[in-house]
Amino acid sequence: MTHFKIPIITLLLLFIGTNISFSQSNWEPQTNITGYVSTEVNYFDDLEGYDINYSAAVSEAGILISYQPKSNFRIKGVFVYRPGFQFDQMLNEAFGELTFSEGAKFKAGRFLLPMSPSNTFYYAPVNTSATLPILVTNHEFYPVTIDGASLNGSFGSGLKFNYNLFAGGYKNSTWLRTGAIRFFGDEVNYLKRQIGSPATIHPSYNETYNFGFGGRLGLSYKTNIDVGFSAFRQNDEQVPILATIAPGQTIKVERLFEKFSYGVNVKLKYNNTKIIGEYWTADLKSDGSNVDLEGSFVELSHRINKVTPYVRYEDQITDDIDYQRYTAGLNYKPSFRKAFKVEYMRYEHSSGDINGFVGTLIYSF
Amino acid sequence: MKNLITTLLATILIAFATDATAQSFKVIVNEANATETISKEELSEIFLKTKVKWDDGSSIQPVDLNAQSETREAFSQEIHGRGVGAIRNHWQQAAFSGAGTAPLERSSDAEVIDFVKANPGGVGYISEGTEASGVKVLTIN
Repeated sequence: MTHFKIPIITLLLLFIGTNISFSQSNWEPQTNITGYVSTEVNYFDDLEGYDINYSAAVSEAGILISYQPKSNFRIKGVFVYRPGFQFDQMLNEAFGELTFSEGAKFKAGRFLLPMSPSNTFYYAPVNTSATLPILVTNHEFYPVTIDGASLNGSFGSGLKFNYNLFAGGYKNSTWLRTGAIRFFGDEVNYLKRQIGSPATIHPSYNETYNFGFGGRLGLSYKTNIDVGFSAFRQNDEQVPILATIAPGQTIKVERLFEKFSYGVNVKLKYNNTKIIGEYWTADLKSDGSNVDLEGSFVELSHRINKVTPYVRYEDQITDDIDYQRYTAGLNYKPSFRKAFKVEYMRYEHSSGDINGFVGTLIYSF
Repeated sequence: MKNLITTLLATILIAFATDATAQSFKVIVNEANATETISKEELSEIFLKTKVKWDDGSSIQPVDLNAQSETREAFSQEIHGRGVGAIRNHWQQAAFSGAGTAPLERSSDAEVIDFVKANPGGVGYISEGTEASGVKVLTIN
């Protein structure tokens, strides 16, 4: 609740406390409201320990409201319902942003981390595929949102240099479970159970808070090319670990985590063909011992009128779990208001492969 | 008789074809704007907000008709090469990603004309048959 107050107070201060007066003749305040509801069907074969291996659910329901009372000041809020998420976790964005120039914008409140272009496809109606890449959903390299401040901007036109520097507090969100049967986000825990791994992160970790800072530097050319390098450093923290001491017996212990994450992203777009990819790794130490943490994906899509077929390959290493995921699907968007996505996915791991199916129906307004 | 019917059918088909390809909108700017001609590519960039300044450095203020307007659909197909639905998708993605917000919208040609008259940097489009009094009509290259 304390961290929920931060973006609200910051917004109020920006809105009421500033004495800076900007004016542009004939500026008309602009309000933008858009939103969506996404219903999802999941099927996975042979998931051990799961009561059901198929189900349907409202996977997301989001609303975005933005208000721009002056040409260089805007307020934005995004709330997205996801099953099992606490209210605090559903408030994705609530911030105000002052624009001094295209090269200098100051944002304060709660916002999606600008660590990767994932915020261009984080929400269901603007994501080509039915699912998000694992390194985005599992939040192992950086949290999903942060409460703090950011200085960002771009220089140039056509060919642009972009930067975004930020710092703030956040609630840990590693392995938050999503999807109709709540398997997405649970992959590492599930595979650790399959191999009898001696330790995993305790669920109470997602009730803890931390502070971090980071940034992204990028180069872009119109909408055709975008490349960037990002880094995130969080304070060292005591992480609750669920350790197996004997078959069927676990205890909760705390280990000191020191982590510095960094990654690169690439987007190439030519006409209706787009390829996006990211690679992330982290220097992660647990009580002084190195822990492997690496993730990557590459996704290719090609729009043919209202249909967009796509394929994605992902590779993840989390501690003692090394797995890949292959995805192929179709996105059919007959109008702005409706979108259908169907997708086949396959997890490959030494303990056994998992086949899955995802179907989504999205209404936008 | 057969020739008459064939000729009549051909005339009707040509009339419809001509009507389908003719530009059914005109682009207007404030009378103080020095611009006389504009390309389709530039127009698309303006209404997608990737071009934000006129040649004299002043800010461009584009205004769309609302999404249900037939004139807007014609403009979108002709200038963007995509329908209004696709452009709304673009702006929804821009809104969620923070990249930007859509141009202002007006419900009628008269409101578009009033906006362009009141804003030196204003640019909009109206139905071909609407009288463009008090604003300048641009030639599209």
